[in-house]
Amino acid sequence: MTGHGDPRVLVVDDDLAIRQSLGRALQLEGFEVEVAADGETALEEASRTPPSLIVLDVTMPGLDGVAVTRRLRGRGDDVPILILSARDGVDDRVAGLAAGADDYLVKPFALPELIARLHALLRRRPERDRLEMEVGDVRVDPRRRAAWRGGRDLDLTSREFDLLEALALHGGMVLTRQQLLEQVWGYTFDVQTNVVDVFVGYLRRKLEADGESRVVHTVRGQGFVLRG
Amino acid sequence: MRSLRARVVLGAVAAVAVAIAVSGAILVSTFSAREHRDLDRQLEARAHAVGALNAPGPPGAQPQAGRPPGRLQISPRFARISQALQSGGDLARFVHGGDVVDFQFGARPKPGVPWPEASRPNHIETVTVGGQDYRALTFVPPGRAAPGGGALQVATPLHDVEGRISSLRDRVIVLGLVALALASALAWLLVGVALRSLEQLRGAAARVSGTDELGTRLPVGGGPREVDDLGTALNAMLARLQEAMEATRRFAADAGHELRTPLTALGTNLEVLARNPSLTDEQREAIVAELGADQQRMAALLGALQALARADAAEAVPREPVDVAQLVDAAVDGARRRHPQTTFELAGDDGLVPIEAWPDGLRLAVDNLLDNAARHGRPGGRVTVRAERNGSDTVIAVADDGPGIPEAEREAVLGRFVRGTGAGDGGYGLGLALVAQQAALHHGRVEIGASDLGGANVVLRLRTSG
Repeated sequence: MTGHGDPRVLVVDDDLAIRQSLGRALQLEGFEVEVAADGETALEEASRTPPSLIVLDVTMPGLDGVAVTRRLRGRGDDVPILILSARDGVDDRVAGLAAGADDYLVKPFALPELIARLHALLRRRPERDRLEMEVGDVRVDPRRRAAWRGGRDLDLTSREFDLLEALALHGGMVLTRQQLLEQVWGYTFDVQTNVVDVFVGYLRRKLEADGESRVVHTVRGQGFVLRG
Repeated sequence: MRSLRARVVLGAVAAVAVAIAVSGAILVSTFSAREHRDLDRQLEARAHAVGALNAPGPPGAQPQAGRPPGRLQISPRFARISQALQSGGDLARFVHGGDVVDFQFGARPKPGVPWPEASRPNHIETVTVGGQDYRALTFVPPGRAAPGGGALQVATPLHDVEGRISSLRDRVIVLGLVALALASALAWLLVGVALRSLEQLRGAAARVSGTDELGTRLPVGGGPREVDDLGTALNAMLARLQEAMEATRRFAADAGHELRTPLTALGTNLEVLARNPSLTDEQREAIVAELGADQQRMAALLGALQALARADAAEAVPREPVDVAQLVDAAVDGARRRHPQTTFELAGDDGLVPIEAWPDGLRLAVDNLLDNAARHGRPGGRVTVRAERNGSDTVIAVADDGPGIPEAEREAVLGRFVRGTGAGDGGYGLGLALVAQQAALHHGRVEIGASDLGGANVVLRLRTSG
């Protein structure tokens, strides 16, 4: 058993082989591991002893990963969630991210990549100045972790807020995907993912829900910029 | 010529041309026959008139004495003869003895015009006199047929009649050509209109094949019935294709999904072995056992996928008489070795009639029934197998003592990659799908119920032929 103070990971998968292998692997990497075979058990476990991280399979009988994410976020649980998807299609992982998950991996994945991402998601992001920021008609309040466009509350998920905050902090400056991965996800390592683009998509949808003009712009070949 | 439009138009125009030509020819020939008949009647009437006027008196009255024999006395009657020869160009000739006197209307008697001899008397024929055609009647008054007796020839020119006939013919030809031209143009237009809907159908079909989207349907309705029928048939084909394509896509996605999970576990365990050289023997043994289980799971999944694909592709499976009792016996024997913890009890009729079946497929189905029962039954539990005649069916029933299959899921678990909620770990949701597929191939069905042992009772029901 690992020592006290190790990060607790809750591994949720209906497949025994995954629970066994992943549980053992994460334990050997220094995590304290709990496993759950279905969504209901995972929710119970998460409220009994809140984990530092959840690794959550999307496709499960009964309550699936998307539903578990939605419930957790619905009750204000901000625990980082990494979704595991066994499908190559985008549907279920996108649904998971939209429900409030932070990242996803497609099975089969390389163990070192999962571990690196889990460590990054655990890392506390640096405290930023706590001042409210305004870019155009977009207002970002880091203390309340809330953002508005005009007077409209954008109702962002945690990761969406982090992304908007990072863009607002560098208002008018172009941030590359790699910079965003570092600042928002803590991924300081080389990682193959389109999670930035997916979240930019969510952010834009919420920013432009009332048909407003685009404020998060794509700078081709470079990255993204928030410009009012 | 490969254009359908040109072909259809050409065919239609050819048919119209033949119709016009035939009816024109009939018209002209009917007209010509009537003209000739009328002419001949007039000729006869005139011949009678001239003959009557000129009827010689009693024999001896002519020629008159004092004149050279053989000379006709005609001058007093000339005017009246001329009257009788009404139309211009009529000829008349009197033959009496050796004398020949020719008349032509509007002219003085004019001997010496070449005039062919009449071939036979009282007969109308066409003769050529002075380069012109005439209808000619040689009239021999009764009793004068003897040589040297008097004869009368009357001829009337044909050129009027022939002129009328040829002008009619010309008009018929001109009208026919005009009608043909109109018919061609009309046919070209109409065929074009009819083919336009075909062209629209072609365009729509090309758009469908240009995309991956088989959900598009061809526009049907408003076109000619044949084209609409074609569109409907093509749409039905598209629907079938779409269905098959979607099933294939779903199947491939599901198969991929099922392979990704054991691959992930396998990869994770391999990585753990590589990253942790100082594992305990216990940990290492556990990992190796899991690796073996994952490998077996993938191999079994692959086998099941191939079996499904093979049977999917088999339109006509090879059938032969199969002794079901013996097949089940052999299958149970194999299952006992695969699942040594489970007790298999075999019951059923000894006197089962052989049924027409695909032995390999049927064995695959029974194997899956047995594996399924062993996997979902209690550890170290009991599985009962019965093969028996039931009415006109042969049934193979496999019952286990596991949690059973909830009634709401009994239909669904026959689908591919569907696992029951109580199915536990390790399966991939293809076992019962394979059984259902074989049942369908054998025109039978799968029935799921509750067993006396408390678990599921899965029945493969096959029709006993004959």
